[in-house]
Amino acid sequence: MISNLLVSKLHQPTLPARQVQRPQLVMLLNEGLADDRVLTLVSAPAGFGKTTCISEWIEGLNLPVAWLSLDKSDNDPARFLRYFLAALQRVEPILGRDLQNVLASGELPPLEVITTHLINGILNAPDRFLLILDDFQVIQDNTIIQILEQLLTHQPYPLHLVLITREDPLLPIARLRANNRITEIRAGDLRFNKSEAVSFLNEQMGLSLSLEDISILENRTEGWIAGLQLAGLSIRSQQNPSQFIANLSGSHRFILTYLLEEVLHQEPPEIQDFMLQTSILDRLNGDLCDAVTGQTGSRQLLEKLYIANLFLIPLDDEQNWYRYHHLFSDLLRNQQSRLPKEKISELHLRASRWYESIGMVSEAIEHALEGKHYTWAVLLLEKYAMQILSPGYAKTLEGWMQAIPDKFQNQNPKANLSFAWMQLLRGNYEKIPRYLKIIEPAVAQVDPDAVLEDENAKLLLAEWYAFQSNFLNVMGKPDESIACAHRALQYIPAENHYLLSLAYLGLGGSYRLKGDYTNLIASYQKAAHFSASSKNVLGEMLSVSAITIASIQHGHLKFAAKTGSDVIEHHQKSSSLPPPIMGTVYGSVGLVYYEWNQLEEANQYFQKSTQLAALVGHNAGIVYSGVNMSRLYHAQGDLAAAERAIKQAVHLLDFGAPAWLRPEAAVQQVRIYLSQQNPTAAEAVIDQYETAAPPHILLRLARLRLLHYLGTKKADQSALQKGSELAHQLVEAGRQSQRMGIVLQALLLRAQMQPETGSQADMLQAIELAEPEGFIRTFLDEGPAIAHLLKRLPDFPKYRTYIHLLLRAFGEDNSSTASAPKDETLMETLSDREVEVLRLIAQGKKYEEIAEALVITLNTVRFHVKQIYRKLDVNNRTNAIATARQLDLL
Amino acid sequence: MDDICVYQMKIRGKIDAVDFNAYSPPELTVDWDQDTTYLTFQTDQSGLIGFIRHLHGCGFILLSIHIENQKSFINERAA
Repeated sequence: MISNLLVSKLHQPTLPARQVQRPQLVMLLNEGLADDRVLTLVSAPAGFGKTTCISEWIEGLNLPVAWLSLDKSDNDPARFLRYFLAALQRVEPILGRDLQNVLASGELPPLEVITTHLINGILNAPDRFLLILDDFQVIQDNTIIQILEQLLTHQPYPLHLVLITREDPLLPIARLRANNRITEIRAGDLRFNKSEAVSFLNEQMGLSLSLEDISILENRTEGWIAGLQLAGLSIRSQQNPSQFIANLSGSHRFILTYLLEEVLHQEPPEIQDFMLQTSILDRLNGDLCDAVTGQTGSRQLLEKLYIANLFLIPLDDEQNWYRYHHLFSDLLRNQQSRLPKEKISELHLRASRWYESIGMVSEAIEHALEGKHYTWAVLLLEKYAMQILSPGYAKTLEGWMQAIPDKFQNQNPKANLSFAWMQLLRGNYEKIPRYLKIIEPAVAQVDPDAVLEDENAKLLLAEWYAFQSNFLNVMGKPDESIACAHRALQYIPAENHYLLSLAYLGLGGSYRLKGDYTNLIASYQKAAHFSASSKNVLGEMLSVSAITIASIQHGHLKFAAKTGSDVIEHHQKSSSLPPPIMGTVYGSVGLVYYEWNQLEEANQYFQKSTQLAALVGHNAGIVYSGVNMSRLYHAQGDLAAAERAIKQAVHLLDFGAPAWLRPEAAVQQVRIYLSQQNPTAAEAVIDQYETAAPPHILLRLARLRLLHYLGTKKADQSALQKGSELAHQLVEAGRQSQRMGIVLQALLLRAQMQPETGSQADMLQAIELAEPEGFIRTFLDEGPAIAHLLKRLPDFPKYRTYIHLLLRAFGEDNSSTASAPKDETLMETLSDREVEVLRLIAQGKKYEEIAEALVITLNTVRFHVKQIYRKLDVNNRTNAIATARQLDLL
Repeated sequence: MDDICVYQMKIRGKIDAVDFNAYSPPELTVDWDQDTTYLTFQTDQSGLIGFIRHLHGCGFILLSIHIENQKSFINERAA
């Protein structure tokens, strides 16, 4: 899979068994650490022993080290960050987990979010550590550079960054230099002096050269280590080494090709062929080399080359993966001119097919492109389009698309349909038409009568209709969308769950637009089911998010909470990471807890929702969270915080938010203004948004709230009259559209406006509606007038417990209604999960053991325990167990 | 050529030294001649390549570059 990280990139290179000790360099590097400098820069051309120098240094350090070997594909911020975080997590396992979740879902958080999370995470690391980025010269992307620049500017102490590069990076090195914050190791420091050359050639390489010969060699190569190594390898088979050395002339660059030829020619032809053929590979292992060369025994051959010191570097401890030294690899590639072009292209194709066979799609596509096998590359892109897009490698994907000539891209309507999907699911609607232009003629050619004969045509047609259904929803055409979804379902085979999930997503979206709750839930449930079984995480989240939001709007709190919590729980249990769209699910579940007056839980879910939205800079999500937080602060009695939260949310509305959010924000604004006894401002808000005819139902509810305020607080009889009429209309409209939350609020407002005449009937209706789902906050938010009306109700045995619960929430637990037994109330509020945790506590399990038994995190256990204590009204484990036993909970 | 040298670089336009300060190689001096800026600095090949890339990234137009003075590595080591 493309999302697989190449673990070998995180491997710290192994030092050769024998190597030249370089204590003066180690001393320089240690001085930098002792001075608390933030950066070590090792900048020199290839072949100067940069990596070996740093490897030797860290071998002698007693500090944690994170190593990342970069390659050209890492010059994509999303890909770079994934590896960067993976490297950091080798030192601090929880560092950047949130960022990782976002990246896994294909989003790149805003720069300031990335740097803030990284800096905070690094500051939490218990010890100082080194992060080494090797081959940093491949990084030119501005976003990546800015991330590192921010890290260096803020200098979170535990981190010491080491950059190994062939050229100076685009970082403010001069500023760091001026402030003595950088240690620099450059070519002049790295080149071997005479005694090091002696040690290298005579001890490490096992030669017996005279000091004079070594002196000549050192001058010829200017202490350049790769040159000395090549010379040493050449000399091994010379009868007269002195003569060979004396004949070397010209600068070290000019003798390089000559030396390489010497080294290669000393090897048997089959080894030469092997090295030439495998030099197309950035990484080598036995199976891959077998596949590329068409021979067997490559693993043994690689081991032999490594032992012979032939510029092969192991990339893991097991010696499964190697790479050629970069310089040697470049030189070998120059030698590839010996091979026919078709042969090189064929080698790339073999490598591509091998990588595809083990699921490393990214590498498969890159080799296909290098070998100019465009048809194969397009097939790969088509096959793995969603998989490629899901980790957010947008820049990489764009690079691949640009590398494929148009005529190849246009050949394949299926691939283009996949690309159109990617853009649709990511909300890049403006990029869709260019793909549709290519797909439409191909779809038009499919003969519907012959569809059943041709499986591929059938699938193309099915996917096309599924796509159209979703796209028509975006354009606000639900009826056409439903027709397309049904056409798609007609052609999709029962076993193709992925396509089924897409068709049902379209259908669910249509019913959402039409306000048809029953069909909406049925369609989205199928979409969620088929998405889950086809590992379409984005589809699953879109479905669940739509279900939870719609369920809350229609008053089905328990169903919303269960659907949302199941998905959250599932992601907590599994190793898969929740995508940011799950922020909406957290927000919805938080709203349910809010309605159940479990404000601490609500706060936790809202915070998580805000965090996920902020991580990706998802403006709509941030606004939604802001509105919810304002409700929470308001409920907690912090009017100033509630005002700040809603003001910020309203300010952000102008930076892009869907239409459904504006009335939500307006309703909360009105609540705040009325709490501040400012009906003029409240009316201005309603007037501002109430532009459509008829106005949105939430705005009408806000108007009713204003009329209620004027009628009850200002004794405005006309407002009371208008309010009663509007309440009546809203109750009817709410019932028709199954918006139970609206009906409930309208009933409660009307009851307060007619305390003498119809209040009892309205209150009873409200209780009948609210009791099954456990609404509490809707009553509480109306204020003490509702408590008064509740107390005046006659005794209804069926609702006695519920009314008691409401009055207790009002702080009126000495009500005239009969008191409910304590356990009944508790059973209402203690969740199944909490009971499960309680039982394990009673068994004497530690939190860690509970987390392990229930496959949840330690924090989640702590959260559940806190809730159990609160609900049982106890403050320790012993009392919790005793109370639970009294209540027969155990 | 991997040794530290004194380079002089000629860039089109009159450019403020502040634009280079944070990113420049050591010993940078800046002079102007009407619409041309002259940068003199010390670095090796890795530093030079990195600096050129930075200037290019900033949109500066490089007109010429030459070595003012090369410290001879071999002579220095022989000494």
